[in-house]
Amino acid sequence: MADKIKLSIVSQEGTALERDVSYVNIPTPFGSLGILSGHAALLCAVEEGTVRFRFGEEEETDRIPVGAGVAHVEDNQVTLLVSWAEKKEP
Amino acid sequence: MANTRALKARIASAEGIRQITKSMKMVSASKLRRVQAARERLDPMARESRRLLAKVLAGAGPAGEPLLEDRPEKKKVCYVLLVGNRGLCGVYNTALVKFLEERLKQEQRAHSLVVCGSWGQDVLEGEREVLRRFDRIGDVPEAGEAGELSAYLTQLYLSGEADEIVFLYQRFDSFLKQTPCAFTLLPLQAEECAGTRADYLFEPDRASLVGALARLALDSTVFSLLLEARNGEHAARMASMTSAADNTEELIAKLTLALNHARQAAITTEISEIAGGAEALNGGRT
Repeated sequence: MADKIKLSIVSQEGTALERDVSYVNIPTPFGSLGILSGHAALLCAVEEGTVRFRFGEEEETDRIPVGAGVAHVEDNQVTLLVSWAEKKEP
Repeated sequence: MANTRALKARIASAEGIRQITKSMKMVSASKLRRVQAARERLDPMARESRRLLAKVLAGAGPAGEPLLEDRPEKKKVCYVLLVGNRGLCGVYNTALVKFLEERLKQEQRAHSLVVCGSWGQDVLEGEREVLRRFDRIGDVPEAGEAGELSAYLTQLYLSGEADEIVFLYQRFDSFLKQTPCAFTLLPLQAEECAGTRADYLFEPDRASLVGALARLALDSTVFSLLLEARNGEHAARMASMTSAADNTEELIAKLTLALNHARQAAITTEISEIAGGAEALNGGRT
């Protein structure tokens, strides 16, 4: 599907999450930041908090707690490099 | 009989050694697997942080980030030596110390030394001053331990106590081959990046994000160096324990042969004594 974003959350303990989502919400020092597909290329600081995302046909939501770090958005690929992240099986 | 008793004692002690070396090999093998798994887990982070840093820098230089800036004069250099946590791993540690000594001989600048690993306190501290010792880094290093080291080195660099930080460690070429080599950690070397784009949005600003990425890249580089060094240590210990176990097998075989000879000789003597005695008795009757 065209409006999918590839979300990956990476920490030193490995890739905590890697999946196709339709919407991501990232905690930043300036409040939470929502990202939909087609977002401009962005590099942004990430604060310790919870990343929320929607996925699948049913628009289910899920969340994953992460530590501070950096988020990179480019070409519908969202990569979070964080100090820690709770591991989630897809 | 005294001879066979001594041989038996030697065989028993050789068997003890064989058991110890075999179990040390097994322990190293399991630690090696754990270190390798940790290296694989770290890999995406190390790759991504370096890639992103290169990408952001390709646009417009280091943006005043002190970790990335090459100082015009590098007067003081800090060497970080990654030795093992203990010996019994062939030339792993001694080759590294030799490498350090050669390096220091050629070094004209003021230098300091940080040691990671609990091996060789007497060897290293007898001759030279060690700035700080990290001897609590586990056999399977964890992110927290690497973070502590990386924070200390960053502080050393930023405070101006060192203008360059160089890791000396055993590069892991293969299970059978580790090569002592040097790696400059700070100033951080960014990779070359071909394709870049200028239209990034930065939140809050470019400089602080370059700083954050540089720290992420630094932390994962330190962690990966620690893991690589440990990987080599366990591989080296496995190899030397394998050959030690093989050698004790050989020794046991030799000693068993000698024991059998001695026993056979004793039996032969006994038989000839009995035969001789019987003959003498028979001779007495006729």
